[in-house]
Amino acid sequence: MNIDTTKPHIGRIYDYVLGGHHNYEIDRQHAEQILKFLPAYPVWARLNRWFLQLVASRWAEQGITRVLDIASGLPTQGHLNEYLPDARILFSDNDPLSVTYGQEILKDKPNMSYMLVDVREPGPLLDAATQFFGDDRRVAVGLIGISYLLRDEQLSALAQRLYDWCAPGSVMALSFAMPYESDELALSQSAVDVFKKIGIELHFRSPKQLSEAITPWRITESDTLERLLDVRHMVSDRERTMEDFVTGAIAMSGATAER
Amino acid sequence: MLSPLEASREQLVRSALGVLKQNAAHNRSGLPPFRLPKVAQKILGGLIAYLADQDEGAARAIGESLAHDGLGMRSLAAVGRALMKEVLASFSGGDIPLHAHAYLALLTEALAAGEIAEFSRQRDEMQAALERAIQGRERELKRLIQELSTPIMPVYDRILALPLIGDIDAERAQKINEKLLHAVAQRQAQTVIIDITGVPSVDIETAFALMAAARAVELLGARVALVGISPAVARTLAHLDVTLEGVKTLSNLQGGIRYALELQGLAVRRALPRGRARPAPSRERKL
Repeated sequence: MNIDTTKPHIGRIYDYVLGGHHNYEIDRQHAEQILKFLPAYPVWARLNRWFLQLVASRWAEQGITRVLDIASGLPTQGHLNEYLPDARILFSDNDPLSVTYGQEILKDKPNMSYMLVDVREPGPLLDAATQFFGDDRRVAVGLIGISYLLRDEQLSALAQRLYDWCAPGSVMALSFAMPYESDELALSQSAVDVFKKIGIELHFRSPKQLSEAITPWRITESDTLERLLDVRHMVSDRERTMEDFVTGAIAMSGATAER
Repeated sequence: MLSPLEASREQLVRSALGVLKQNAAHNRSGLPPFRLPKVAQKILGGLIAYLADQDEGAARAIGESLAHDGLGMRSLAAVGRALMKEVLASFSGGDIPLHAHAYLALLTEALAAGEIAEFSRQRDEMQAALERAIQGRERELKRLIQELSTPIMPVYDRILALPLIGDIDAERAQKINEKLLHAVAQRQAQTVIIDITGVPSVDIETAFALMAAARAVELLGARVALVGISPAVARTLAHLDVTLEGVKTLSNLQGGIRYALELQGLAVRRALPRGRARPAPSRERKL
C-alpha cells in the first residue's frame, strides 16, 4: 500500500470534515473546495458517524459480541471499537489507506481486524467473515454511510448475500439518503449532478425503496437521522433553500433491520 | 452549605443542554448528541463545586475530561455565554459571577490544551501508519524482486534451469535454496542447471551458499550443473579455494542442457544433413 501525501484522499478529506487530524494540507485544501458547493458535507458525515455510535451503544446494551462492519472508514474516536471494546469486530473498507490507518489504530486489539474489500464484490468479504467469525454467524452488520453510493442491484446483491450468510437473529443498521419530499425529486437530481462533478454517483431512496432493496431483511425502524438522534437545526432553514439545494433536497436517514 | 446555584441546577442543565445540542456540529465526531446530557451535567456539576471551593485543579480536570469527550471549543464558548447570562441575571453582584467566569476560563484553557494533545496524538498515529505503509511497500517490492530474480524454468522433462541475475547475498541465496528444493521435489527433477552468467561477482558467502544448495539438491537425488561462470568468478572461486566437488561446471547454458540430456541417455542430434543448415559455432570454453 502506497500512501501519497501529495494527492488528496477521500478518506482523509472525510476525516477533516469530521474535525479529525488524520489528514494533510492537500486534503484540507480539497475539502474546502468541496464545502463551497456542498456545505452540508460535514453535517452528513457527522450524522452518519453519530448514527454509528447510537447503533453501537444499543448493540452494547443488547450484549452483541460479533460485528461485521462494512465501509468502516477510520476507526477513530467514537467508532465501534470504543463502544464495544470486547466484541469481535471485523472492519472493512475498499480504501487501502483507511485500512492501513485502521490497522495501525487497532494494532493492540487482538479481537478486532481490518480488511481491504469492496462491497460490490461480496464474495471476498464473506470469505473473510467466515474465517474471522467461524460458525458463530449471529452478528450485527454495520452498513453505514455506503448505501447511497451503491446502485440498486449492488445493494440488493449485498443484502441478499449477507442475509444468506448471517444466522437468524442477526441485525443490521444502515443509513441512506432520502429525498425530503417526493415532489423534490427534481432537486435530488440536481444534487446527483453536483456529486457527478467530483466523480461520485449518488443514489437516493425513499424508505419503501430501501426496504425493497434490502429484502429479505425486515426493517424494524426507519427515520431521518436528525430525528433518530434528536438534533434539530443541524441543517439550518437557510440551508434548506434553493441557494443550497443539495442540502435542502436530501435527508440523511437511518434504518435498522433484522434477519 | 448548599451552593446558591443548587436550587436552579436542573434549569441550568436544561439550558446548557439546549445550547450544546444547537452546537452539536462543532463537537468532534466522537461526541454524539445522546452523550450531551452527561456533558451538560459535568459542566454544571463542576461549576457548582468550583463556586464552593475554587479548586482550580479540579476545574482543569473537568476541562481535560471534556476535551476527551470531544467537546468543541465553539460549543463550550456558547454554553459559557448562556451560563454567564443566567448567572448574571440571578446574581448581579458578589463573587459568584466572578468565580463562574474564572471556572469557564479554566475549562477553556484545559480544553485548548486537550485539543493540542489530541492533534499531536492523531498526527503521530498518522505518521506511524505512513511509516508502516512504506515498510510494507518495501517488503512487497523486495518480495517481488526476489520472485522475479529466481525464475525456475522447466527446460525438458526432469530438467530445470535457474538463471540467476544480479548479486546474491546470503538472504537471497537462502530464498533461492528454498525455492529450488521445492521445485526439485515437486517436479522430480533429475538435473538442475544453475546459470550464473548474470552474476557479476561471487564472494565466499555466495560460493558456499551455492555449494550448500547443490548438496541439498543432491540429497533429493538430482544433480547440479553450474554454468556461465565468468573468468572473474572463476578467479574468485580459485582464489577462495572453493571446491566444486560433485558439481558439474560448464561454460554456458547450452553445454548444461546437453549434459543434462546426456544423463538421461538423450542427445541433441542434427535433424537435417550437414550443409542444409548453418552450424552454430561452438562456444564451449574450458574453465
